[in-house]
Amino acid sequence: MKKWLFVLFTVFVISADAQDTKSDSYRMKTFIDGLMKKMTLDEKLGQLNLPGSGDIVTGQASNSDIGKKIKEGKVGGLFNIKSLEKIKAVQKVAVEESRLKIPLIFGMDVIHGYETVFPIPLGLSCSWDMKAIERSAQIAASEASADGICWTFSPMVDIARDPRWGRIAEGSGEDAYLGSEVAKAMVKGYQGTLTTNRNIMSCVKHYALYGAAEAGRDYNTTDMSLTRMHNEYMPPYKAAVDAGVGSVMASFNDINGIPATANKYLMTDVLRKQWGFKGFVVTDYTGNNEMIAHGMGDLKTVTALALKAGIHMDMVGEGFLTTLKQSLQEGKVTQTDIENACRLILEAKYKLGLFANPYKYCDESRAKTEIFTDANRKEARKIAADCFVLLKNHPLPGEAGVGVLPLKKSGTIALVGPLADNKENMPGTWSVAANFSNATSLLSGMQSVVGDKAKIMYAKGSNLDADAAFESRATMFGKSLKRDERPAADIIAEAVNIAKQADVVVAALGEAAEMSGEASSRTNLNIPEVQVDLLKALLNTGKPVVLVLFTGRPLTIKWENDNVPAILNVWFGGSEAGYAIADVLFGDVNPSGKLTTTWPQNVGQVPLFYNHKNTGRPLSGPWFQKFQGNYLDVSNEPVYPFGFGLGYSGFTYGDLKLSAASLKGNQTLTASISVTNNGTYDGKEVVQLYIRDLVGTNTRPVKELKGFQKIELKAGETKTVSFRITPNDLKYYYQTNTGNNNLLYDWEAGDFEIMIGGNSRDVKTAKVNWSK
Amino acid sequence: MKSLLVCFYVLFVVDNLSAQPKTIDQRVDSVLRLMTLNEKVGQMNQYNGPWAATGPLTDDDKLLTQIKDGKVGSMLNVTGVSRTRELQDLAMQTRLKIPLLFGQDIIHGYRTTFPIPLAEAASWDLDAIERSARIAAIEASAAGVHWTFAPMVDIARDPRWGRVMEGAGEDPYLGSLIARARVKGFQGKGLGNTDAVMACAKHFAAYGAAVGGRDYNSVDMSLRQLHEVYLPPFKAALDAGAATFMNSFNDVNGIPATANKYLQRDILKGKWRFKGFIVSDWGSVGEMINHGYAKDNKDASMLATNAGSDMDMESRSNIQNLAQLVKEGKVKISVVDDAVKRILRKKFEMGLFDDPYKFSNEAREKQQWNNEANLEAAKNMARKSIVLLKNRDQLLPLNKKSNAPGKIALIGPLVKSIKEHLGFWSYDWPDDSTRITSLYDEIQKKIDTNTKLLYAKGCNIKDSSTTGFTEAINIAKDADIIIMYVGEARDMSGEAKSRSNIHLPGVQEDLIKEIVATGRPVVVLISAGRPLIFDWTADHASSILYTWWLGTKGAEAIADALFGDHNPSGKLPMSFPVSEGQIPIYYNYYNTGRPATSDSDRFYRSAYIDLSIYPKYCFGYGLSYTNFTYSDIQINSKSLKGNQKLTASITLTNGGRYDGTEVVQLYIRDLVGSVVRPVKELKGFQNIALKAGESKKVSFTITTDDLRFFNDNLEYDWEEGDFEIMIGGNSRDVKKAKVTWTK
Repeated sequence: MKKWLFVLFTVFVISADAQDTKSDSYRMKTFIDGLMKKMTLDEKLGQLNLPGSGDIVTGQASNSDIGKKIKEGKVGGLFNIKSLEKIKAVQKVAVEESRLKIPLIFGMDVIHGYETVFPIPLGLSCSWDMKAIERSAQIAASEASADGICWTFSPMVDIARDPRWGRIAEGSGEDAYLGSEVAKAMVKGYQGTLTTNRNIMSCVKHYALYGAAEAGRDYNTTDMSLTRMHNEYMPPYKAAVDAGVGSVMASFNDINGIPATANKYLMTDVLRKQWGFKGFVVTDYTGNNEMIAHGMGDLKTVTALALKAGIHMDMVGEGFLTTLKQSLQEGKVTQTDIENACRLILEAKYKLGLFANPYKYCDESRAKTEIFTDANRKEARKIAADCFVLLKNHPLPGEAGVGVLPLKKSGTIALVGPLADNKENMPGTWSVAANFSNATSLLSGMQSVVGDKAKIMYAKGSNLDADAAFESRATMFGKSLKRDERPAADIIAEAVNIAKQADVVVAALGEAAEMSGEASSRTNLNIPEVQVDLLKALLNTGKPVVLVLFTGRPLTIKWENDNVPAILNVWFGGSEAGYAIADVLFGDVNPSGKLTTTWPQNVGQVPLFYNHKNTGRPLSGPWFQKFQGNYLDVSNEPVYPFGFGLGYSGFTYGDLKLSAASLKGNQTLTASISVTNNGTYDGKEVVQLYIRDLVGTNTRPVKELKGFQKIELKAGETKTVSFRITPNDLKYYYQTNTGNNNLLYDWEAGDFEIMIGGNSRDVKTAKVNWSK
Repeated sequence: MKSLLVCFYVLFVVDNLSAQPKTIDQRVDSVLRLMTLNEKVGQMNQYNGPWAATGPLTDDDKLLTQIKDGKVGSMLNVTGVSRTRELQDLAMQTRLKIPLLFGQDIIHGYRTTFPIPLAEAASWDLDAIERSARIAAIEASAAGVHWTFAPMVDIARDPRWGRVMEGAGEDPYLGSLIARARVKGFQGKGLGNTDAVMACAKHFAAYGAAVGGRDYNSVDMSLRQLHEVYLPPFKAALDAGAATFMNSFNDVNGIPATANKYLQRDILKGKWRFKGFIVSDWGSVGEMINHGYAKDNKDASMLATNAGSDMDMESRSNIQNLAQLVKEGKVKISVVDDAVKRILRKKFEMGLFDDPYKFSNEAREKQQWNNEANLEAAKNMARKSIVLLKNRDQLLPLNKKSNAPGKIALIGPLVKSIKEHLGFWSYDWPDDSTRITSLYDEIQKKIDTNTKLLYAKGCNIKDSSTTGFTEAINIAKDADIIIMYVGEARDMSGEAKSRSNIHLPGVQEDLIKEIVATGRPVVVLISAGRPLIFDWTADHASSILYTWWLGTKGAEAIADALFGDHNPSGKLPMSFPVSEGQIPIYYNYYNTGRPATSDSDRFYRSAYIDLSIYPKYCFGYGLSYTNFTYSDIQINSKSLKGNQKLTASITLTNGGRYDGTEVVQLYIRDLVGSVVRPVKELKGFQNIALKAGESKKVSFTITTDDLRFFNDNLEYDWEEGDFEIMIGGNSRDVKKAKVTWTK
C-alpha cells in the first residue's frame, strides 16, 4: 500500500511539472537534466566543492593552483575574494577553460554590510526595526553584488543566551520570536526576488543550535531536549526557510552527540521533510573534516555521513572531492545522493542567473559607483543611531528631571578612552569587506557634529587591557588600538587632567571589536579592569561622565550602572559609527534601541534570560528567600532586562484593554494600550507584547515575546497601540508525558496572561481564558 | 489453572488463622482488601513532625487526629525513641493498626556526623563509605528512624549549585559505585533487621543539572545525556536494592519530575522493574502549580499519582483530593492500589506489622549514643576524605617533636570553629560544643611544650572587615610556619544554597595574600561544601589541604594529616574551575571539532580568549606526602574480539619517604562512535597502599561491558573500533595504550 502511494505520488509530481512546460521550474529542470547527462562523476563531485581560494594573482588565474582545479571541473564555487577583477578572472577560467563551462558561485561573509558597514547584527537587532534591518541587508547585497559576490553567508540567526559566547555579536540575541522576524527581514533584504543583479543568495546559519555551546565556549557541544530545540532555537532557521532562503550552513557543534554536519535528523527530517527546504546545505569552514576530531571517523567515513545526512557542499576541506568516489564504490553512498547534491547546487546557480550570464555580478561600472556611496553611508548612519541603547541617563545632583544626555553643543568636552579615537574597531567583528580607513572614529564624528561650537579635548586614558598579550589577541586583523607603553597611572593622569578642564566627560570604553565574534569567547564579562580604573578616576573628578560603551556582547556592568550617571551602549556601529554616536550624544537623534539580550549582574548568573520557566519554587518576595530559587550572593534580576532601553523622552503606558475576557477557538483577541510621550523630545518607542500560557502539558515560560511595534510619538503625544492575537500566537511544541520523541505543535485551552510594556520586566498585565 | 489459583488465594486470605506462613505479597493483599479508599489514600500521605522547633507536641492543625483517623502513612522529621513511640501509639489506635513509617534526612550521619557526601566521595574508598552509611543507619534506627532520604545520587557539573555537597560529584561511574555502597550501608543485611533503614535514592532525576546552578531551576537535556550521565547512579542504587526513590523538584524537559511518567513509570517502575515506592520531595506535588503544570492541588495529585509518585510529602494534595479523583474516574483505583501495596510491602519488609515499635528501643538508643567505634570510623572516614592539593618543597607533614617549628601561627576564621565541621544536613546536639573539637584544640594536642601556638582570627568568613589583618600579620611575622584555616560557612552549601560567586568568601583571600607576603611558609586549609575558586592561593601558598566539612571528628582528622599521622590520599570527585566563567567544566567532555591542545592554542579553537580552558584542579586529582610513579601501561593484547578480556596493568612505585595510598584510576576513550564519545571516562579504580619504596603491579580487567554506551536510539551497547586505555593518578596525567576491539 505504502509503495503504491509512493509510486502514485511520484507520477503525480512528474506529471504536474510536465504539464506546465513554460514554468521556470520546468525550464530549469530541463536545462539541468541536460547538463547533468553530460557530467562525469568527477564533474558532479566538483560542483560540491567549495575550496579555499588561495592567493589568486591577477592575470595568472588560469595557471594558479585553483585555476587548474577549476579547469578540471573540480570547483563549484569560491568565497571571500574581495576583488571584482579576480572574480572575473577565475569565472573566465570556469566558463572558458573547463569542459562543461559551468560558472562558479562566489560567496562571502557579508555579515553586516559590505564596505558600507552597518552595526554588528546584535546591534542591528536592537533597532527592532525590521524595515531598517531589511534595508541594511539590501544595501549590503547591492554593494557585494557590485563587486562580484552573489552569495552571502548570512544571516546568522543562532539564538544565544550565553554572553560568554563571542558569536552572540553576530546574531539577534536570545529571543526566538524576534530572531525569526530579523531572519526574515535579512533574507528578504539580501535576496529580494533574486531577479536583479543587486540581490544575492542568502545562507542562513549556523544550523543548528550553535549558540547553545556549552560554557559559552565556541565550537563546544550542545545538548537539549527536542521541545526546547523546536521552541527556543529552531524558529529563526525556519523563518529564514519560510522566507525563501537559498542555502543553509551546517554548524560546527554536535547536537545531542551527533555533529550538525552528519545530523540526518536536522538536515533531512526537519529541514527538508518538515520545513520543505528546497535549496542546498553547505558545511561551515572545514566543518566536514572536523568531524574527525569530533570522533565520528576518518575523512572518508565522515564525508559519507555528511552526504547521507543531507549536506551538499563542502567548504574548504575537499572531503567530498577526494573520498566520495570511493564511498560510492563501497556502497556507502549512492549515485542518487551525489546527483541530488549536484542538482541542488546547479539549481542555485541557475536561479542566480549565472548560466544565462556568468558575469551577471561582474559589472565594473557598478563596482565603481555603487559601493560605499554617500547614500548608503547616510542610511548606515541613520540605522546605526537607531541601534544604540541608552541604558541609563540620570540627572546630575541638583538638576532634577534632566539627564546628562543629550550633551550641549557648547563648552568643553573631554573625550577619553581606548575606543575614542580609533577607526579600525568601529566596523566590528566580521567586516570582511570593510575598508577600515574609511570608518569614522568617535572623535572625528563628534568634531564633525559639533563643528566649532564646542571644544573637544581628547586623551586615550588607558589601554584596552593591562595584559599586552591579551590586547594583541583582541585587536588582531588590523584592528590595533596602538598600545600606549607608558605606565597606566600616567595614561590615566593625562586623561584626568583634561577631564578637569571640561564641562562633561565622554568615556569611550569597553571591548575591542575582536573581543567578540568567532572564537572570541570570554569567561570574564567585565569591562577590562584598567579601563574601570580610568572610569573611577574620571568619576572622582566630580565632572559628569557619560559612558559610551563599545561591546559585542552583554557585559556585566553592575558597578558602572550604580555609579555612572549616563550610559549609552553603542555596540560596534559600523563604518559610520562615529557620526551616529555623535548624533545621539548631541540629541540630533533620540535613542530608541532596546536590548535583545539580558544583561546579567555577574558571570555566575549565566545563563540568564527573560523567558525562563517559573519552576516549582520561584522567588516569591524580595531576594533573599530561604528554600526558594535564588542565589545566596546575588538576586535573580539582571542589570538590564530583555527589551530594555531608554530614550530622551519618557513613555508612560495606560491600562491594558482587551476586546474580550474569554475567547473560543479561532476568535481574535485585540489588546490595546495607550502610550504617551511625556518628555520634551519627539521619540520612538518599541511597544512589546508578551504572553504567558499559565498551565500547559509542558511547563511554559513566564513570558514570551509575541509581537512588537515601533511607534513614533511627538513630545506630549499619546497613541493607542493595538495587537491582534490569534490562537497561532499560543502554539508551541510539546511532548506528551510518555517519553517518546513525538513533537506536537498546537495551542491548549486555558488561561493566558497578556502583557504589554516597554521592556520584558515592566509590563501591564491582563488575563484571558481561551477555550477550544 | 488461573481460577484455581484465585480460589486458593481467597481461601488463604480469608483464613486469617491459617498457620501457614504467608508471603509478604499475600499479607499486603490481605491488608489491602480490608482498606477503605480513604485509608488507602492515607497511606499515600506523609506529614512533617508535629513538634514545634523547641516546644511540646501540639495538635494545632489536627495532625494527631488525622493519624488516628488513618489519614497518614508516614511521618518525617520525627526522631528519638519517645517521639516515635508517641506517634506510633496513635497509629495503633486506627481501625487497621497500620504502622507509620518514620523518615528522616540522615545524609551523613546522625549522632556521629561523618564528612559531607562530596567529601566522602573524595576518599574513593567504597568500603569506608559503606561503613559510614552503615553507622548512620545503626544510630538512626536506634532512634526510631525507619527510613533515610539518602543517598542523594545526583550527578552535578555545576559547583554553583549548593547541593553538590550532598552528592558524589560529577562522574556517573564513581557516582554509581558510591550510590551502591551507600544503599548497602543504609540497608545493611536487609530490611527487617533492626539496624537497617530503608534507603531512598534521590532526586529522581537530573536535579543536579539545574540551569545556572540555581537550586530548583529547570532542567533540560537530551534523553541520551539523561541516560548516559544522570541516570546511572540511580540504576546502581536500584540494583543495590534501594527500597525507595524520591522524585525531584525540577522539571525535566518541560515535565516536572514529580509527574514525569517517562521517568517514573516507563523507566523506574517499567524498564528497571523497581518494586519499592516513590515519595515526592517536600511539597513537590503542590509545587507543580507554580511550575504551570497543574491547575490546582487536585490536578497536581492526579498528575503525580498517575505518573507513579506514590507518597505525597507535605503537599496535602493526595489527602485532600485523591479519593475524590478516584470517584471521578480520574485516577484508577488500580493505580492507588499499586501505590498502597508498594508502601505496605515496605512496612511488612521492615517488620513493622509484627512489631511497630521495633525501632523504638531505649536501650539500643543509649548504646549508640556516644559509640566509640562509630566515632573512630568517623575519624577514619574524615582522614580519607582530605585532599592534598599542593605541597611545595614537601613542607607537609609538620614535625611534632624534634625539629618541630618553634612557633606555629594559626590564622583564619575557622581555626577555632566547632560546629562548622558538621557541614550542612547534619544534626546539632546540645553537647556539641563539648564533644566536638576545634582545629586549634587538636593542634595543641599534637605539639609538645617546645612549640608555641600563636593565634589570630584575621577576619570573618563573609564580611569585608580587614581590621583583624594587622594582628594576624604580626603573629605571622613572629612565626616559623603559618597554618591558615579558611573557607565557606557551613550554611553556604546545601539546599537552596547556590552561589553565583564561588570564590573564597569575604576578604579571606586578601588575608592570605598579606600572610604569604610575610615570606613565611604558609599552609592553607580550605573547608567548603563545593569546589571553590582560590586561584591566587593555589599559586602562592606553600601547601593546601582541601578539608570539606569532615564531621564530628573533622578537626582531629585535619590535625592528623597536618602532622603526618595520616598521609592524605583523597582525590577530587569534581573539577575545580579557575573562574565561574568556565562553568560547567568537567573531565569527561566531548572533544569538539576544534579542540585546543593547550592554552596557547587559541586561534579558531574551542577556547576562551581570556582564560585557560583547563580546571585549576582536575577530576581525580590529589597528592600524597609520598611520591607515586607510574610505569607505562602493559596490555595483554592490542587487538581483541568479542567477549575477550583485556588486562591493562601498570607498575605503581612509592618513590617517596612515606607509606601511602594511591587511587589508581582507569579511563577509557572510545575514539570513534556512532555518536560523539567523551575524551575519557572513568571505568575503574583501585586504592593501593604501598610502603615507602615499594612497587606493585596494578591490573584492571576490561570487558566489552566497560565499552557500552547509549547510542542515538538509546540502545545500550558497545561499538567496535579503537580505544584508548588510560591509567593514572588523576584524569589529566595518564599513561596511554591503544587497542582495537572487533565484534
